[in-house]
Amino acid sequence: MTKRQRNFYVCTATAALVLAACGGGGNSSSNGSTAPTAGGTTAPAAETTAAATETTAGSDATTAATEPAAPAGWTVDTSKCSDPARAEQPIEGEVKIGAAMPLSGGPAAAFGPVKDGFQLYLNYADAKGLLPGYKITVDVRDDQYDATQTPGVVNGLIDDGVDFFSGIIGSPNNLAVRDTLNEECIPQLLNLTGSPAWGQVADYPWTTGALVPYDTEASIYATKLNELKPGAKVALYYINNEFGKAYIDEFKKKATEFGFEIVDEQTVEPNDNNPPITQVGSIAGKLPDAIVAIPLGLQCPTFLAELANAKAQTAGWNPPVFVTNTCASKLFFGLAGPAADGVYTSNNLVDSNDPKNATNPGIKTFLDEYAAAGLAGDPGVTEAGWSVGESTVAILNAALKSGTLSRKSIIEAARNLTYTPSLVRPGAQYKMNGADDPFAFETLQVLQWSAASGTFTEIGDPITQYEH
Amino acid sequence: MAIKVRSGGMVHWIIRAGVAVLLVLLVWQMVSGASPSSLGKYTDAMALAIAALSLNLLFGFNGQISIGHSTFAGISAFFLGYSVRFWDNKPFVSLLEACVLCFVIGMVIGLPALRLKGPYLALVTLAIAYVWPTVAAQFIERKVTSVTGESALTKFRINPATWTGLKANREDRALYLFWVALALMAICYVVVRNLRKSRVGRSMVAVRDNETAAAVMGVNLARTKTLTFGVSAAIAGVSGWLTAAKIGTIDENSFTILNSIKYILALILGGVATLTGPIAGAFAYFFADDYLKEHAPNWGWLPGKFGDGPIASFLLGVLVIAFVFVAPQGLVGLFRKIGRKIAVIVPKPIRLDATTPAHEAMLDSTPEAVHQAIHEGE
Repeated sequence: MTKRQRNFYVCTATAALVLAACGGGGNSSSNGSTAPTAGGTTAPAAETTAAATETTAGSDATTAATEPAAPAGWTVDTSKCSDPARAEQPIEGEVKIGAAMPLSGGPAAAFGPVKDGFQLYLNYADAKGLLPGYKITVDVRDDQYDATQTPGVVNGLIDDGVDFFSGIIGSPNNLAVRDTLNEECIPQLLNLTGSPAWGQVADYPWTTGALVPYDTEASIYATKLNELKPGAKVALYYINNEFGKAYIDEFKKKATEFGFEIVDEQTVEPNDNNPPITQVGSIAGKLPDAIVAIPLGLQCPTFLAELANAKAQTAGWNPPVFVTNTCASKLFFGLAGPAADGVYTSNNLVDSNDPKNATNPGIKTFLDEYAAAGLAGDPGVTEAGWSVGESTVAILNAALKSGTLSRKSIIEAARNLTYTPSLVRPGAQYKMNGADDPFAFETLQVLQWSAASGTFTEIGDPITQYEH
Repeated sequence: MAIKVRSGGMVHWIIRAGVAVLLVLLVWQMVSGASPSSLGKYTDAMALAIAALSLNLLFGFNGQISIGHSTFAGISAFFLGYSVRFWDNKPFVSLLEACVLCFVIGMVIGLPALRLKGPYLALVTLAIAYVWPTVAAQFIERKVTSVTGESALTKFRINPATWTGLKANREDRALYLFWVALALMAICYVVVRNLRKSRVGRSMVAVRDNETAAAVMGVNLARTKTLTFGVSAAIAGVSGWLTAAKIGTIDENSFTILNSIKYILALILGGVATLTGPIAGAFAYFFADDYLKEHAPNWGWLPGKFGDGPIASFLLGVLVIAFVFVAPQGLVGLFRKIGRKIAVIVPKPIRLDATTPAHEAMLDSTPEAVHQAIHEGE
């Protein structure tokens, strides 16, 4: 081919491309197909890294769900939306809820039960007609816990016409879609992460979180430690990422306030599930009065097991250990065996694993549906998904009471709601109040794990002081 | 019996034009009436194709293996995010700068390649891919979180240029990025193609095939290898830039070793050391993965618990292994094999005005005839 021929060829192709571009059109309608996710299946719960709050041993006190009140107060400005009319357009007949969760890849084993619980409640609510006049459909799609995939998943769901999102798992995953959803004015409710970033009402009015913020949890541990051992020498062990640092930064602030001395600081890389021999060896060498640990997933039992070894070699050294509540499931503490005995943690949900809670009406309904759906594994993790589903429907009912169900009324209901879900511990509630209280749940119960009985024991009263 | 088509002849040109028309129709099909999410998928596939192109240059044409290409993509993505957010850099200026940056870093990282080969070089690049997330996390903590309080680089989204008439919303942005991706992929393809067909490209292949022989022929081994590494890194940077522009939020886990593995898979599926292989492979890999993730969890015929989510990854793995067995030369190799049964392109004679029996035999194109003709000519 001569140069001239080649140039002609290239020019022709380019011109054709430009023509195609002109004909392409900008706004396009959705033609993607929906992928209804498989219900009634459970991912193997082997390596749970449940970022959702796990259930913990509960008291006998049961809390019936309260009727959500009609929202009032805080309103959202739709003038900056890319399509203000769509934000206020009434949703008729069917409400479509979308979510991105890890359904394949490594973390799917951990988060699969959360998806099961979430779908279980929404299907249950639909079957029971808990949102009068509406059919509830839910579409959970797989992002493999990979934040680079979440925008694609969320885009697909928007194209397929979901009305809003609820229960997207993971801080980076939620962060990756926050700009888009706020620009499009699509509610991004009950993110299953405790990042303090979900409290930015002014910048991101359409985004809310479901978990107690990690910094609040750290403050609660610091306060409890101050009661147990004032002026303690503390060693910190944490996962070397944003999740770990959110706790540790807050804990350090409190440490200064309470006069704790940080004698050692050890970290573990996010994907490192090996026994932390070096780190624990260093901590044990300093003989601290207490340890605060923020591992993730399988790092929880490996850390506790290694710590038990160190304790066995150091006579008379048995410091209290505080562990993040993302480890607080029967699965992880069970894996650690006796090594987990006496570990402090926290939660705001009643433990469905604890036989004494079987009579709790909320737990009973949940376990009945759980069994009816043929689910197996650790119901404690599934329960977190169920609870998010329940709060979602409560928000929808509150929005409905305002007159019309629309994206605008949904986010306004979510941010102006006080409501007690059926599975939360006494004292805990869903409470948001516009810009004044941007977090849904801020109450935690400090708990201690008993390896012998495989349950949690409440330590003191629920800590409600962080509730706005 | 396959049809013989003379290279550069009329029929050959008709075939080429047909392929061009098909490509244009394909692009037309992609954009007409496509939803933003579909356009986003094409953009993602093209970003993967660009990364595979870069790896092909290095591995396919120069024989140097790299598992660290995700790092170059990451560096470029971070450069885009940081420079646009904090320095008010123009996105396309940042693309050029990121390419230069990746080129330089690629050259530096390519230095050990002068002494290492095969698995040893793979190990060095593996280390680079492994270290990157930690470096990125430190960068985010010190330069981003300390300023914005966020754990990721955000707010560097690329809005359509005003002359396009597109608006800064989700739909138009997806369309705009699709065209940007297509243009970038075309540019990267042309760069790789021209490089391959140039003197430098011939040096690269010579080095790949036999270093000693290449050195004897006067090829500067050090220069060729480091230059290839640099150019390949720069192209990987384009892929990272595009990915970041598409996602709009990046953190330390956005470009991990898994991305490098995907690049390698796309390359192998498409066909190593072929010009179009990386593009075909990237699209095939991306859409097979996408299809399985969407449909596999609902396939009732899968036994028991296999019907759950993780089945998609499992099936993709099986598919890749099976494909490599069936078509070790990749998709392009497979198409060529099938294509050869339909039409054979025979090279045109060196000089038509001095036709020799050998030339005529070439047109006839049976190896025996060519052999015989050459000997007759002696």
